[in-house]
Amino acid sequence: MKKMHTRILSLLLAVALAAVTFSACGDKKPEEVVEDNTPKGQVIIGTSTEANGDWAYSAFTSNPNATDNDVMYLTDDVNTVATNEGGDYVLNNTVVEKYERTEDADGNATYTFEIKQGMKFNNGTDIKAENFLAWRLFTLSPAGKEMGTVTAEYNMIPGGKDYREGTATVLAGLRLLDEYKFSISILKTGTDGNGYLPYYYDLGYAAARAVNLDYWFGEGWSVKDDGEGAYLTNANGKTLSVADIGEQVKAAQFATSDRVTAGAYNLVSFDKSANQITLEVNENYPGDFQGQKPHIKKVIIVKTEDDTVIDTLRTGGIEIYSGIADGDQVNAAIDLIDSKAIDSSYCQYDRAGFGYFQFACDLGPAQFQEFRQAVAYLLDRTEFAKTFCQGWGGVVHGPYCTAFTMYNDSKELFASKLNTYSYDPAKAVELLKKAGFVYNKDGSDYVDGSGEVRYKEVTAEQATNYDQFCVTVDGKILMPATLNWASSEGNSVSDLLVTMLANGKATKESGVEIKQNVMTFPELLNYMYRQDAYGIGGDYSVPTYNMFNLATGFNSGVYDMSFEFTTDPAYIEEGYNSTHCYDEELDKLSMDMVYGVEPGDYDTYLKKWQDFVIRYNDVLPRVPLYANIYVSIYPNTISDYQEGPFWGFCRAILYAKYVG
Amino acid sequence: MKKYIFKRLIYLIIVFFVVSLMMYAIYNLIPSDPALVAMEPLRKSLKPDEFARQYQALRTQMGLDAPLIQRYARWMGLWPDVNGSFDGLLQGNFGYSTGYKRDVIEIIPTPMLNTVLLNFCSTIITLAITIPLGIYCAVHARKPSDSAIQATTVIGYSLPTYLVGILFIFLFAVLFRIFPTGGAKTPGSNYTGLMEFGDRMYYMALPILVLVFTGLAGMTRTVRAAMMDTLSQDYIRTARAKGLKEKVVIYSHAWRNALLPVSTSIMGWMIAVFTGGSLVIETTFALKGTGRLYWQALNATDYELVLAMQMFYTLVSLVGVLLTDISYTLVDPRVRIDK
Repeated sequence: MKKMHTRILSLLLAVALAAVTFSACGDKKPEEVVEDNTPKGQVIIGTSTEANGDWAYSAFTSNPNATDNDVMYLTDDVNTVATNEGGDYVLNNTVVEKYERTEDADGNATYTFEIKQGMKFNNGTDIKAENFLAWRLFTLSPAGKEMGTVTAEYNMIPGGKDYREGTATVLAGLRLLDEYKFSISILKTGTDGNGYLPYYYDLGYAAARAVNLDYWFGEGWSVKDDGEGAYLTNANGKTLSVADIGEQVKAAQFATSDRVTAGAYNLVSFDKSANQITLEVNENYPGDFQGQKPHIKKVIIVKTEDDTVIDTLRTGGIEIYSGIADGDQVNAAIDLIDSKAIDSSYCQYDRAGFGYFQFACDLGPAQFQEFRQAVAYLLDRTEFAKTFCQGWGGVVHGPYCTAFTMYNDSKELFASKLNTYSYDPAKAVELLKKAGFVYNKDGSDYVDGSGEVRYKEVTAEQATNYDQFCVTVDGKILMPATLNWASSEGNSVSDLLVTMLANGKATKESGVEIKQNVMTFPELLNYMYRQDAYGIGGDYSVPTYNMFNLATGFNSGVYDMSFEFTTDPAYIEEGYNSTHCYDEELDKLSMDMVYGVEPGDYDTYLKKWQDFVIRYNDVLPRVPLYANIYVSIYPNTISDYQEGPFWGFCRAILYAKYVG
Repeated sequence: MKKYIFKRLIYLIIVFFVVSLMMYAIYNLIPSDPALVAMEPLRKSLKPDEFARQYQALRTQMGLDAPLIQRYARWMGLWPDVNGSFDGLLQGNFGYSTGYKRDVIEIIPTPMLNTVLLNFCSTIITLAITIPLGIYCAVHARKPSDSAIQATTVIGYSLPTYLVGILFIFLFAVLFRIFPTGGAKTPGSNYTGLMEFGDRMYYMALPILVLVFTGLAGMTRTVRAAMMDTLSQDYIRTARAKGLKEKVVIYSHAWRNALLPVSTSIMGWMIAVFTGGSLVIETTFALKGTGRLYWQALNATDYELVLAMQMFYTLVSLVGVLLTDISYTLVDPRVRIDK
């Protein structure tokens, strides 16, 4: 009986197995792979910049710090204009249904937008045309002025000055055309006399961010237009006043939770005490300019310290660490990945910026172009960049970053036209001689290799403000090849410059002397800008130093160097043209490049940009030292995470997927 | 006594004003321009003439063109500001932070609470360890155990706090994974009540441990010295001669008297320590405290914030000294301060 039972059981099992096998081999309909786009998971991001919790963009002086900026982008990026991966302005087609740019007979431009219907803020209220006008109407208003908003847009918008001063109650240059349509006009020549058009990047003028009126100004406020221009008013017919909206604006500006925004994420909390920001996905987000919506449900931003960040990464305190520049940190982080101490990956990209030292081109020997070039030849910049960046960086030969579209379109030209100033002490000596540095201090002829400082005969005018270094021999004024260097304290670039340039063998042997003067960074800036016009005056207004080491960054692909090399004495006195390089051609190119090119005319722009870079490379007001390669660490719980020079974590996170 | 306190309060007010004037003058000697600091980031986005115009307007608004003494008087609230009203320190306006773009009074409380919590916990634990340890050392003076304790505690005192912090992070956070490396709460947590407090204490444990370790030597030696001094007194010899047990001599007679001078110094110490932030600890452990805030404000030339904090510390120190002096009379009847 038992045997029979076993047989029956075996038979049943065999039939079942056969049935499963046949069904598996049979006609199987291919299953549709449905991508699950439901946001899930969380990531913890470390930031070295402490958030201030100021969410009013730069309306009230000072730029927001990097973390505030990232949070604002993540929570509040519904704008008519966006920047793409290359950092260029593009129309945000997720927000804009129709766009038109027209010009009147005087060359004034009007940008008309029809926005898409159905967009909503995170509290469910509709986003309409008035939401895109409200912020400008506030910042440009007399109430905004009284609250300390800093803007110059009133000069370029028709009727802006009258509106700002309170002599007009409507802003003629902004129009609310219907519920979903509005326009912004820009004057060709502003009320301040400056030319605003043509401007190559003029799409930036048309950028307008959607803000919730109830949240920022209190209930009952709306934008109206009676045919002469837009204005903000409330149910009682009142216009903006500090008494009515001041407290509300301040509360909205510094809110630590429950912000009414339209961006990819909602600010769940900003814990000031713990330096921690928690964001959760906004279900109403319409998407970025490519329609992309986030897949990661929760993003937590925590403050980290440089000295312990690698340990924090190792112990899971943070999962993403974005844009590491320090070579030691990069190597330590990659070691963690390679040794499987953390289950993470990394991406790398060129920094949109570079470190450099600049000359004051009107003081001492730095006023001579050959001298500046000679100094460049005395430094092995490739070795400098390699040492400073610990292998994570390189050199550039002009005022650009390798991520620029313009640079990539100019590589071939630059290869033949740009001087790379490769380390060449002999060439430096040749240039010094050419510049006239051929004397000893006593006026006798200089002997190459003597190790003494070279001198050049100069005029009294050329020696101005450099008396402390110059000597007079037999009625001739001799200027030494001495650079008076203002160097900020606690700066590792300065330390390396001392070793490789100031105390370098080639420098000593060439007859060039570099005197380092260590000071605080604000003091360095005072000397650089010669703050005569800024109430500080005193010794700072007297040209004293002719070498400064600094760094610069390009926040986007917008390349606007206008006024950087101005030759207008009034502007120079106000601190513009900090290199004091009064080169007419450089000035003209830097202005024409943006103000002399029609938007969209890339070829003309590119030509002027190339001419500018080539001229800059020759005149050499600044000597680029290094351009880092940034590395970002991210956990393997997410995929498709890719940062770029103009595409920080707040952009990359939108495209990342949580894979667990 | 009342007369003495009144006299000291008058001195305190005078010292406060003198210090405030000196501080204000020193910070104004530093070549910095708050209006320029605020405007500098906008240099590129504004046309030069517009930049100059707005800069000048901001200078006027900030009252920076007035002479130093007038600016001081405005800041103190003894002179009407540019709007014609008295609105300074004496009226409760601690100034405006150019860095945080908020009134100073809104900025200080959060880091101050962190600092007080951190210092309170570490001080209590330090005292709980050092007082018995000091007594033990005094009783066993010059014996191997005394020497061992002295040598061990001095390690924390001798090593830079930064180094101890990094070492403890390596040991307790990286190697043994007992505590987090830094921060103040579990990322993304929204605990409340006891859970929130527990989480906060878990994150503060390592910095507290470092503060305790580095603070052991000082107080242990103070207690030891006071105790040794007491143990050499005649009444202790008498007590021993009477045949009292050593425990009774030490804990009933000696340590109470030994703690008199210690307790007064503890009081002054605690007041100063509770409010004074530790830049090194806060920076190492990514904590938001007053030490770090002060350092950041200095770097950002945010002088109204710096001055407000300086004046707060000045006031705390002055009151601390007064309370310490008064406490002498309370704990030691032999001290008379009204003569």
